[in-house]
Amino acid sequence: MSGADALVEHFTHGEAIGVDVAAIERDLAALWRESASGERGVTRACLWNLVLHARGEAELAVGKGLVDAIAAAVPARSLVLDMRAEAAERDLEAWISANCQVAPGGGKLLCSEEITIAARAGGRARVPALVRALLVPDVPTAALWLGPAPGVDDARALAALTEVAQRLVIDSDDAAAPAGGRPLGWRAGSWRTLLGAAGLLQVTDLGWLRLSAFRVLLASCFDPPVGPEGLLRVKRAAVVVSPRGVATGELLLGWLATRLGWGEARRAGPDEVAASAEAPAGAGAGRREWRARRAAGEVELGLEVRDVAAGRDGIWEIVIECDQGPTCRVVDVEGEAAGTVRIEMDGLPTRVVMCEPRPDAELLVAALGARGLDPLYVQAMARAAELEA
Amino acid sequence: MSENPLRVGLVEERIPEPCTVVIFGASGDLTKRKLVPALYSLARERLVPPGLTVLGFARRPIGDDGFRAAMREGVEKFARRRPVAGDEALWASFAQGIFYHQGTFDDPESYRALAARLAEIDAARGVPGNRVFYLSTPPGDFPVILRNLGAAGLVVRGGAGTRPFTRIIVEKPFGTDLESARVLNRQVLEVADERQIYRIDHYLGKETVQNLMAFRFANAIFEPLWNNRFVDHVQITGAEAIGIEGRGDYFESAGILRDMVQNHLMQIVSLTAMETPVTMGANDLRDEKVKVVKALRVMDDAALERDVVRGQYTAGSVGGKALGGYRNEPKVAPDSKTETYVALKFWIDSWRWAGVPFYLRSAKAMPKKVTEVALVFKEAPLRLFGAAAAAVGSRANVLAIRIQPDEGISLNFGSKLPGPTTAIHPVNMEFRYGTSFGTEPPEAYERLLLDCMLGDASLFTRGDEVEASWTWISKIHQRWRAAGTDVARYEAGTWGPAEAEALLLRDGRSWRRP
Repeated sequence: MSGADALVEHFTHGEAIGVDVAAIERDLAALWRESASGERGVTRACLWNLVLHARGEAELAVGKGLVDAIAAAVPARSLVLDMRAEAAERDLEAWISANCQVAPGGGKLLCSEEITIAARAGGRARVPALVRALLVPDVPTAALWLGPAPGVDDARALAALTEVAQRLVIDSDDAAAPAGGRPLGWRAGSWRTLLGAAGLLQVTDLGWLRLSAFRVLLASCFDPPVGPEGLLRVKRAAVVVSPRGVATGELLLGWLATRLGWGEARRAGPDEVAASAEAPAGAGAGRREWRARRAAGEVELGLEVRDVAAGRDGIWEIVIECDQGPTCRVVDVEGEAAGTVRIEMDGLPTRVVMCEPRPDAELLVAALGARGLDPLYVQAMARAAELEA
Repeated sequence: MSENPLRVGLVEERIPEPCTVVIFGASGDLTKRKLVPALYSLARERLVPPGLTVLGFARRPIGDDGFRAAMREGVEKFARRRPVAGDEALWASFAQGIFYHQGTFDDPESYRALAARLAEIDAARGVPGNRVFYLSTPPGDFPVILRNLGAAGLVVRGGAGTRPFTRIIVEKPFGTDLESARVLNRQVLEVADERQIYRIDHYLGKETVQNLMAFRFANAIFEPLWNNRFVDHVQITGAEAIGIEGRGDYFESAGILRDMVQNHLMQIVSLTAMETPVTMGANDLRDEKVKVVKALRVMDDAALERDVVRGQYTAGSVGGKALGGYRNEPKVAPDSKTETYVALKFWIDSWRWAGVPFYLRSAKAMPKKVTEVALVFKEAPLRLFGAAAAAVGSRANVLAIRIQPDEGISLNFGSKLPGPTTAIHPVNMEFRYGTSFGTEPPEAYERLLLDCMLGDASLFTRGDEVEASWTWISKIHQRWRAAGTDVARYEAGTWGPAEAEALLLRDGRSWRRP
């Protein structure tokens, strides 16, 4: 095997090949040309440009894992940006690799391409221009913001991504945090920052997609024979979350507020969660309460953070209590029945249904599809921002 | 408050409300090979609600456990998303929602017992009374099932907004001629509204058939060319490599015209020729499809004689394997005149298609399985490069939409051959589903069952469309019966009889080699 053949072999097997930053496109094209001339046909496919923004080793590992996992379902050119403040010997480096799968029906290798750019210290300022040059024309661009959702201090990095992307994918659920532990991921002000971004591009949240199962279960409480009338008389809506689920809990309350037409939520009592936000993940506990007007009366909103490791997608329990009944309670089940959720509704037999968490890669594929465009999400986010105020 | 506000948005996310799918004829092949595997694949992709329930209704005394075991076997063999290690909990949860009700179609007591059973299951599984009745039975059983469902109070009349909902899926064939189609429509409408009826033609569930609409109406560059100013003619091919595989009793009374053309290929004709619908909503879409069928020029005797070719395969070989002749199949009359091949030239009398002939062929025992639509465009108005410049092949551009297999779209155009001449050579620009998306498309039944649960009838056939297509097709059958002429013969593994080639040759055209 010649040196060139060996290089192609490494490339199509997903190994990263270091290239000159100024010649990424040229080197990629050369490798594809070589690959196509081999005995086995290789087909490049690209439905999206994916720009991944990572700020450290852990986020980088999560990002690369996600790109690999979705390559078969969403062929894309992935630009993985490894952005770090610390200085290094070279402030800008690049690697290219291919992610190949056997096409459905066998035969050809169907390949996505991945370009990793490591930018250190001053090199970071040169990344946006590099990204602009490397985007495949005429296919949409999605920016993946890994780790804690962008807060007010991320404005510059976020602006660079929104400039090139049509869709921003974030994960409001701290469950997707890179391994190794870090402080509670959700930042004060994140909903408002995202709301601002939603005015410029489509914002998609893996946390919102995770909530879909809970929304279905809550809706099922108010289907016939019970009916939806009780929803006009909700007197309390409360969510119990694990520390990673604060944002998801806020989003769920925001969704209820928008669907049930509640007025603006006002804080009722001290913010006990804020204090715990400084603590390491899993160590927080506390409670937030709000009040909001409904058509005839008031509704209490509660978000309780319990110091528990479990809780599906960060959600432990959801209660909707209506004046003069009924009460709907959706509870995560632990132990042997893990992977199931119990639904208790006045007037109906208690049900236990399967509700396994969806892998992040599957959610990301959904986020890049039609489900990534949900006007209800933006409405729920706007109401969640009120809770954050 | 009548609508559940928490459900708003879930339909847009394509998450249906909990419902029970009652399958009549549940011990048949379709349930095991297609329906339950499709529902399982949907469950595996989390596209159905937790309360989804399947209740099989049939004569055999197999009980819930027996039915579950049979369905497990079917799912393992036929589901697109088959259970893999680690899926046991999912199967257990799915199987909890599978039930069986033993009964006979003509016994009213069976339906009263069914109603009681459904109420019991609703309470236990949190199903709010929503029902989909799937008639997976021979068409002869439809009337008695519908009548008994109505008598037992199991059908709640009402459209998409009615809760709880009742929807009825009817499998093809929707009649065998115009008269029987009308009778069937009448019987169905005696117990339910048209909006509750979902006539299923699995061709419409195929991704590529739906892509015909996306291709035409989501791209601005093709629609301006999609008319008689630019299109010379349209060719539609629905070819199968297999013979009739022992189904002589069925095929003798059906023939390829009923089996393929009246339903599947008519859908393709409609989607190819329809005008832009006002919306993609079920009625707007189906209104436009019906207009196409109504605009099919009725053939007079001369046209039927001249423009319709029917054929029957004789012994030959397909894919390297010998295939016996049609008349040698079991339960086929030795002097059978049933057509296994049909080729038609027809016209659509609309502004868009006036003067554009449509050529359609459908057959068994062809060299390969292929379904495609090809728009053959008019040649460039001036041969600027001279007649000799076209080194090989036709000078006409061809846009071919491959429905199956190798789903995709190709555009054929002329390109200059490299070298010091101006020779033009036809080349293909290809789009292939498999290599562009990398994902396996859902099975047609997955899409159609999900749509029905969501109350979206866009991909189902409306009663007036069925009657309109039978009006046109029945004419051909009547002519064949009256003429009593024999069918042309073609060797299995060829592209059909010489008469079909002549059909195009006399117009200065030829069939595409798909």
